[in-house]
Amino acid sequence: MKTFLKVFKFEFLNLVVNKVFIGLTIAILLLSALLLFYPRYSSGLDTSSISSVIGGSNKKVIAVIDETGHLGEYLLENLSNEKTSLLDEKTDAKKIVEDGDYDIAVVIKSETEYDYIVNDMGLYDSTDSEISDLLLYHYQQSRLGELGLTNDDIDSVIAVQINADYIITGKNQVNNFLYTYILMFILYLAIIVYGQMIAQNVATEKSSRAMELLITSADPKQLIFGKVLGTGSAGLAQMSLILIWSVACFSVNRSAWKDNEIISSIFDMPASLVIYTIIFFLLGFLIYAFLYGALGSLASKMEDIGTLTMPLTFIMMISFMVPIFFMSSGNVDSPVMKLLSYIPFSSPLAMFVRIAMSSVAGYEIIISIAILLISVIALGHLAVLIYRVGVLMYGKPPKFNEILKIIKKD
Amino acid sequence: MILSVNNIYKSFGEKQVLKGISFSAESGKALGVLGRNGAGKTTLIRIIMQVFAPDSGAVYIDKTPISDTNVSFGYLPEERGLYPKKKISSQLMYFAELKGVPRAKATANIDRLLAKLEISEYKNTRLDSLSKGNQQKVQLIAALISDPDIIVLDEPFSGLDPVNAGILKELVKELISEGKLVLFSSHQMNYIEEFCNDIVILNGGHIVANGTIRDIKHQFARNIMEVSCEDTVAVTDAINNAGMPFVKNLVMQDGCVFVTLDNENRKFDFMEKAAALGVDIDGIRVKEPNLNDIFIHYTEGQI
Repeated sequence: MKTFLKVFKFEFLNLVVNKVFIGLTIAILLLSALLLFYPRYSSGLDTSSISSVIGGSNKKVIAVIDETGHLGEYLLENLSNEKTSLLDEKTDAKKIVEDGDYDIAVVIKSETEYDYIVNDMGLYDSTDSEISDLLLYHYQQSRLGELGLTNDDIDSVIAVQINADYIITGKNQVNNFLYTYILMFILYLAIIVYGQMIAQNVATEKSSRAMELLITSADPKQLIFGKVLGTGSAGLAQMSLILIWSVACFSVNRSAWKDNEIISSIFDMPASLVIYTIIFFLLGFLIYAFLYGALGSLASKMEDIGTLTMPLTFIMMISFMVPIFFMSSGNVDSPVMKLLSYIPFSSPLAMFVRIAMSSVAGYEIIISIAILLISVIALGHLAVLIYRVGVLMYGKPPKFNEILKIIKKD
Repeated sequence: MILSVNNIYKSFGEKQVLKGISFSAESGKALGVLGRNGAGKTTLIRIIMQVFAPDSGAVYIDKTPISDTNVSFGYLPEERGLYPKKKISSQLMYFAELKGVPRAKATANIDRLLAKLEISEYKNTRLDSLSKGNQQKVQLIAALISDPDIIVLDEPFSGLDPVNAGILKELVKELISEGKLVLFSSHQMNYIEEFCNDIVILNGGHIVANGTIRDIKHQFARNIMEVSCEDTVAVTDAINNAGMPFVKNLVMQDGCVFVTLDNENRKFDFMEKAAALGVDIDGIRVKEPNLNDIFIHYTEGQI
């Protein structure tokens, strides 16, 4: 245990005093502060400009060219965009957009027909639907007015609001999507980055031959456990620092962000989800980190690392991509996702997504975590056996069955 | 303390590396472990240090099976390397702590050994900023930091200049006189002869020679005669023309003629006939075999 603690301390400090690690942490903290303090230092800009970057429509310069002679003024008055101008009907709409004088040109050809000219159509551009709504409203009002109805009567029919109260007994996927995605991405990134770091550390010790001395100074089990847990703890410390810092920055600026549902939803996520994030990070990290450490021990040169760890990285990528697909299709409880929730390599992400975005029975979570725990112990044991053999093998990386033969014999 | 290696067998896959290795070594002496590259020396050392388990056989310390509790090791591997980007003091402290040395004692040991090897000024320097020779000294300190009972030195003098080799020699002699058991593996036979009383020569997974250097030399065939003379060409011609069928080979080297006889019992016949050659000969004596000759004799041709 004493030796394990020494290795743990060495690996933990090795990482937290590393200049790149410190630099990256400071950069993330600064970036987080810049984003969350944005409303304070940008008094001239409202927070909606942040939301426009994240998902809202941007304020674009619009030219309206009216060939009907009466709808141009109507659009000018009613379009929400204040940077809208009414131009002469002889204006070359395509040219003014191509020249960059206007972002959008709308040529109204009749009450029910218009050309929408834009250089690049934005993913979140909603101006076209707003124009369509306005023209439809105008058309309906004109036609119904001709039938003798007053404007109030017309509005009472076509502008009626349907009110609905949503009573959600489980999770609201619309609200949860973004923070689930962010947390899942952090989990994925952390496991890949710290896992690769462990593989590289082991391979560096082996290629620099420090391993020769290490392996005769300490038990391989303590070496790999110390390395995996030391690196994992440094990663967890880094993530915790970023999380605490971000929460603090948000708390200071909470009132400024109150109208922004996206940012607020991230920081108002349930505490239980934070706990699940930590549990699945730890178990998921350990599953992969032990294997990354074992694979690193098989590399004689740093160049071997990529080839050796590629299958594991590939498994991790699939475990990330499949839940993303089901998140986007809104079917996080599909049979595939349920199956992935119990496979140790995919469950840290799949089960986490299901917990965040749907209602998962308690026993399912317990089974998933139990399988993960048992797998961590089994893979930790396997990693020690591979590491013990691998660290002293030089030359071409051995095939897996060769390793198994040696392990079996030992 | 007596280290006994008893009938060790070890194979990797189909390849049998060690085939019944047995020998013993005792404290206060250095044992030379010799063999060609790939002879199994490193595997044997790793088994003794409990990095590998043997397929069969065992290692004992004073008749008790070897374990972490009854012996401690210091190891200078042939392939040198520590943490290139870390400070010397911090990585030496790490290795000391891994071996269970308390911090205060480790600090004292680090200072003492750095001073002894004359590299104290590099204490807080990164390893990769040191010369190769000084890096090797740091590696040796890492091996000695825990004051171990058995010290395994694998090619300790390779790459050292004569001054540094001298410093290291003094340290090794000191360790032996302090009662440490030194296992010394090297292809530089002069160092083996200088430090070791006993040697073990491995070849093809077997021990082909084991004992004191003196005994092994004594057993070695003494069939080469060293003829000292002014005119080696004249002496060589005279021997060739004298009709001595027991002479197998003649070599002129360093102002001498080395004559290999087919049998060491013919040395008196040779001396008698050489004296009657009528050429100027300063002296004739039996050439003492050196460790290099012995090593080549036992390991040549097979591995």
